[in-house]
Amino acid sequence: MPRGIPECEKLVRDLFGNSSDIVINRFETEREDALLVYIDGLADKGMIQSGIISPLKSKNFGGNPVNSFKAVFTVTDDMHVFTEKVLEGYTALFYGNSARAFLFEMRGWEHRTIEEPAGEATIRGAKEGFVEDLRTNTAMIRRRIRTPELRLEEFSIGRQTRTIVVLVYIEGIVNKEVLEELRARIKDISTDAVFETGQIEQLIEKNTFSPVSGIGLTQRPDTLAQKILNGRIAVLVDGTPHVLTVPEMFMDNFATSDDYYNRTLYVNIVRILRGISLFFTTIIPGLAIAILTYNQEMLPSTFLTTIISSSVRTPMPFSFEILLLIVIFELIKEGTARLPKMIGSTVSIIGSLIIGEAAINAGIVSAPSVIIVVMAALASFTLPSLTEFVLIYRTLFWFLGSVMGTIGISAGLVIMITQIASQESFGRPILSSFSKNEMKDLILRFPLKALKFRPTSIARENVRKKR
Amino acid sequence: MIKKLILIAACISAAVFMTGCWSSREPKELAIVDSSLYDKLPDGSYKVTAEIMNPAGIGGAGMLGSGSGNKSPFVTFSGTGPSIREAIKCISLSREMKDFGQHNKARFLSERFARDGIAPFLDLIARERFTDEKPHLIVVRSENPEKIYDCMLGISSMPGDYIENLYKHQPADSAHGVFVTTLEFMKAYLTEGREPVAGLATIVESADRPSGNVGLTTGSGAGRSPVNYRIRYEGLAAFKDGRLVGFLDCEGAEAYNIIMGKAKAAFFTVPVGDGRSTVIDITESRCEIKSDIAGGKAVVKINVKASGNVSEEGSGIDITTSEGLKSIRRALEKQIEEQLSKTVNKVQNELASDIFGFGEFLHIQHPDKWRGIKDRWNDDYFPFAEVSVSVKTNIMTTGKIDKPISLPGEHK
Repeated sequence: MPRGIPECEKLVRDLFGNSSDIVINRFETEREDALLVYIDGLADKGMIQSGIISPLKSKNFGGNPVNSFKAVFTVTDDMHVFTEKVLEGYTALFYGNSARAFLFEMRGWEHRTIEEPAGEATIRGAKEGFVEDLRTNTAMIRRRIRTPELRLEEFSIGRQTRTIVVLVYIEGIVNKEVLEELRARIKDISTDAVFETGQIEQLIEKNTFSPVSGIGLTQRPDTLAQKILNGRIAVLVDGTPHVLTVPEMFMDNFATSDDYYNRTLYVNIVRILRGISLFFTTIIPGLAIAILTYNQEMLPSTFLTTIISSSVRTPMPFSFEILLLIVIFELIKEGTARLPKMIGSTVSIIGSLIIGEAAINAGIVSAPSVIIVVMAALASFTLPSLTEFVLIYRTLFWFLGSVMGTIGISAGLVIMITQIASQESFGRPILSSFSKNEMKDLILRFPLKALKFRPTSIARENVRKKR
Repeated sequence: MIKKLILIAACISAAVFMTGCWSSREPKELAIVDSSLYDKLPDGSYKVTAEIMNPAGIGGAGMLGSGSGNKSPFVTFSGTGPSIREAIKCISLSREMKDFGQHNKARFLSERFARDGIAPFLDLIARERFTDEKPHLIVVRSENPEKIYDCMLGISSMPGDYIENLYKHQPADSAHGVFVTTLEFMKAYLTEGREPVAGLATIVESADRPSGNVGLTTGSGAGRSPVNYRIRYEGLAAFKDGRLVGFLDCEGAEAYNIIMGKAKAAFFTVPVGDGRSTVIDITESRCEIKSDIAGGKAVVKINVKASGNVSEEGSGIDITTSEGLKSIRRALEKQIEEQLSKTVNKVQNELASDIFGFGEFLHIQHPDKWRGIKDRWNDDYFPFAEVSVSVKTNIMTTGKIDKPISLPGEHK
């Protein structure tokens, strides 16, 4: 680091190339010149004025800046540290010929306030969700788990973006093998830019083409706190409200944080419903095609005649009707997801009107196929974290049911179950939660008093919960 | 090497998928057979009639348009030929849909057809792929068996459905009808020492109001015969060596059901006391049959244990006392014994067909004795078997009330 303010100024101007948001402010004091460097928008100008500029410019300034600052600061003589800190929003000050820079953490920028996450609404439980600001997010976790064992481990990922990625876990509960594996995979990431946890997720997962990822996703601090307490590790990325959790078991897709807030009986009924809806949403369209075009003897004759009487004048084969409706449904879903809320509802009304009324009245599709697809669509909404899985397997079952009938459905089931069973999440098979130890909170949730242990498929130490 | 693998994979997938595609059937192209009628014409050829569901006539909430108004819920197709299979094939000459027999609920046999021997018919059903063993086998006792498709039905819209609903509900009210599926018939036919029976339907004239709104359009009466017909499902048809040999009336069928242990409900009007009579509703019956050979003759013992309730009281006997009930029971037992003996006698002498399976019981209980006589059982033993019937009854309750509601002046 050079000595002398003019040299410093030249160096800084060369480094940042006269960017318009870089403020390089040279000012005189009673004794020597000073150079102030910060990024407009990231620094808190009021604090800079009151904590740095005013004391230095005052008549009482005795020439020793260290004693005069009305703020906490660090000192560096390393140019790299200086650059990094300024880019993070720190304010730097050069004074005289010291060849050192004072760094002040006087940061402040505009960010979104804490809101309820739109994608993960619950009936009971906290209404706050993560925001884009990393510090706010870690504070929300810290507020929920007040134990010194909560650890935050920071990484900087992306050569250009230098995004801060934080691992959050509890020392003594976390599964060390998983933690080691996760650290190694994060260190292995070599990329230019990271803006979202979704990118991290894809860069650290091993099963790229599997419909189940083995990595959980949440926007809720209370959900995350529960998961961390079960021995999982959270991955927070600066700039996104989405937080990853690893390892994620298959059955975690059927549980929500509500499940522990609502009363036992109700929760169990809802959980069973979710299990049924997985069956409905993946298999029902294919199974209906298989039964209606290959094994009509499986239906009671009244049922069969009713179906025939309403489809007797439709032009397309049954399986194509179903496919058409599935495609239309996905179109509506995709369309409304991208549009603003106001227009989105219009699209869904048009879509449902076209499918529900016009298509049947015009004789393009039959009412039973609409009912089947609607059933599958409705059921898919109860499993938001399995969207990808459901879409792929519904299509697979549609295909197998159309070309091979009920045998195809059985074949599809074998494929699906072996595929899920072969998946691992950071070394833990995602079906390993089907163990005797975890039966109390797997398909059914036993009363809270009976849940004395953490899931052994994830946590290895201190498995018994503290009382 | 890779090319070879791809070729093999393509062959396998084609084999797997194409077979599937070939056997797929669009539901709307199906001719769903609801019932079928087998007849033999005087010239020796067979006539098969298939009753096919017409979904457009059944309608449904999601029906297109309003065209379902006055369409018939079923259509019939018939064909004739020198063999049953050819007659069935003949149907397809005029039918534009895919044959679908798995929803068949009843196979009606005309009397001529059944008397002629139904072994080839059973063989066809067991052999062919499109046939099912589930439908009820019913002999239609009528000069013109096709009239079964003109009969008024109840709330069922098709004869096959009608039989299926009868099967569900009739046994809970009476034991006058016998329901036999094709499979049960085949089993009895192929069992040594047992002869099969089939259900019996008679077509009778009826004064009942016709279903639907036919009665409202009296003036036109278009296409409808002035006389209404109904199916009367009672009695049974007895077979021997695959040929129809005769019928039993409703009392005979009831006795048959009791001996077979199938009677779920049977009403007996017992004439006791000085008044009219008491009606006992038998709700449960068990029967034990012991067959043996003694002194060159077959000896059969039938032990029936039945229990029931008082259903209608008009006899004047005090049914609140055990003595009163006992006297009713005695009379009831005697009555059932008489009915069973009469039926067994009739079967032995007139039909000479072992529909009760006495031979089978002998086969099970005394296999060594059976082996020696099994070829002569039907001719030399069954008709001359000494059959003794003993009935034990138990009256469980007197119903919701105990003392009878009597007319003024009658038993106080």
